[in-house]
Amino acid sequence: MREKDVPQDPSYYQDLERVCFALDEDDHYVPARSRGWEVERLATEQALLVLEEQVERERRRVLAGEVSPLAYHLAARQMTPKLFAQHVGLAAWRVRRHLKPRVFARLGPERLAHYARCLDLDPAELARVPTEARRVFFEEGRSTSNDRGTRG
Amino acid sequence: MAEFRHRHAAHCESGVTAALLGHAGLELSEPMAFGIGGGVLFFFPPFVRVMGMPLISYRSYPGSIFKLCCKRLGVTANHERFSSPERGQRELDRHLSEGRPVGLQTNMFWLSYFPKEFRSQFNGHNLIALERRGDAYLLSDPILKETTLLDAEALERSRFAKGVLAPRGSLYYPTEVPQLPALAPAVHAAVQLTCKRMLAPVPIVGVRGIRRLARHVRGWATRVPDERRRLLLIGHVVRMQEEVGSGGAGFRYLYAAFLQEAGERLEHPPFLEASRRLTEVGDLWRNEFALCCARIIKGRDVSGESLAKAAGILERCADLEQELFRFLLENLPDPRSGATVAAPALAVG
Repeated sequence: MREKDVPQDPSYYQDLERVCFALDEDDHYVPARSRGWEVERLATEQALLVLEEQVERERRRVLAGEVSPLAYHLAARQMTPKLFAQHVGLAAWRVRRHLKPRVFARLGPERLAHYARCLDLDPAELARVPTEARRVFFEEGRSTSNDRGTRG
Repeated sequence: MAEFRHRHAAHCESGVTAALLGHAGLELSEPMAFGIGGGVLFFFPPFVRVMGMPLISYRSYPGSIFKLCCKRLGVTANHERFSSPERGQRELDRHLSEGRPVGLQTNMFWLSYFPKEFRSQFNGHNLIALERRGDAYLLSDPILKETTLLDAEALERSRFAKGVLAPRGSLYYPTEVPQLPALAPAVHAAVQLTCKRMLAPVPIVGVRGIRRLARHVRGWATRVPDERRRLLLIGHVVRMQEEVGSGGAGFRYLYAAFLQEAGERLEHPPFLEASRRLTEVGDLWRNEFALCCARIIKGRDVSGESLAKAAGILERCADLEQELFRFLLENLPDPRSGATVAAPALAVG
């Protein structure tokens, strides 16, 4: 790749610029800065939108009383019950049990506080989910090609 | 101790390695650190899943670049891990109060200075801690243009995250750095290892790994009935190749830069030839394979035909890399030639 061909597509990099090695006019490798690449943005966006869908699905299930709020918070942290279990030092099956609303409701304050700490939440936040859908893996105000698609 | 110079780099670990060694008095460009640390690889194992996606890696095991680079250049280094976060933080504070910058292995999800889109549960990100400032740490993250602050709680979360490659507070720093280490034996050993890995008679690494990926891509047309899943898989391959810290084309450009610099400094023309050829392979990865995948994603066209086309490009990459690494293996530099490491480092233009 030539230095002048280093992609400078505006993307989720924002003011972050990445280094990319490319050839200058004398065929020498030099570090060049890139403001982002359309191809990379497409791939990342697609993957993140799927994760967002999972978060939204969990949020609805929590509101419908099918699972405990813990399920939503795990999805919003890109964690599986197994990974979270390693963080809190419990067996995975116990964390999975805490995804049931009835079991979750009986958890003691100490356990809830520990869970909240591990998820970087206030204990009060752990027990509820947002009332409206919102994206958690995109910076605020970022539009994706999906949004642009619906706009026409 | 001299002022620490922050360096903006293409890849986190080679950036950290070059910066730490540079600070200790051994000036090394990022591509040299990457090459001597044996950074380039291809790895596509069966069964391993990361967040439901197959593991596809274009690089060696996280942590190995620093380790190998030190070993090859005769640098002695310390590496500490901790079972308790409290001790880990105390030790970190002790090093910093003694004015010693240290490399840290971290989880990207908790590094709040990155845009959210970058932050995933990946435990292999490397950065350098420079100084404690009250409840925050001054960090030199090679992916950023400048140094940055991060609060102590977030850093602790990040250093003690769990899961695959759990960092366990991993902290490392060079202790003794030789004045002018010989370059030729280091490069010789490093390139030899990389060639052997890339040509290994094992179906999941190196060029055979690339061919295995090509077979899978082609096979998705029949084995993955869900078209959406096919799109995600294709996107995943591109992400692994181009995302965070690959320097483009799955590290192929970074390695080509290393071959060029090593070739010039050792006055070893075959490396210059290999660098040119690797650049072409890099272009193939990036301008043909990644673009082909992008068209698939954009047009939502995951027909067997377009998958076969992508797979065909992968096979060409594998063929070219096989030839290239065989050529390199036959044309290794004389380990007794005289060049040493100290030379002007590349500055970011």
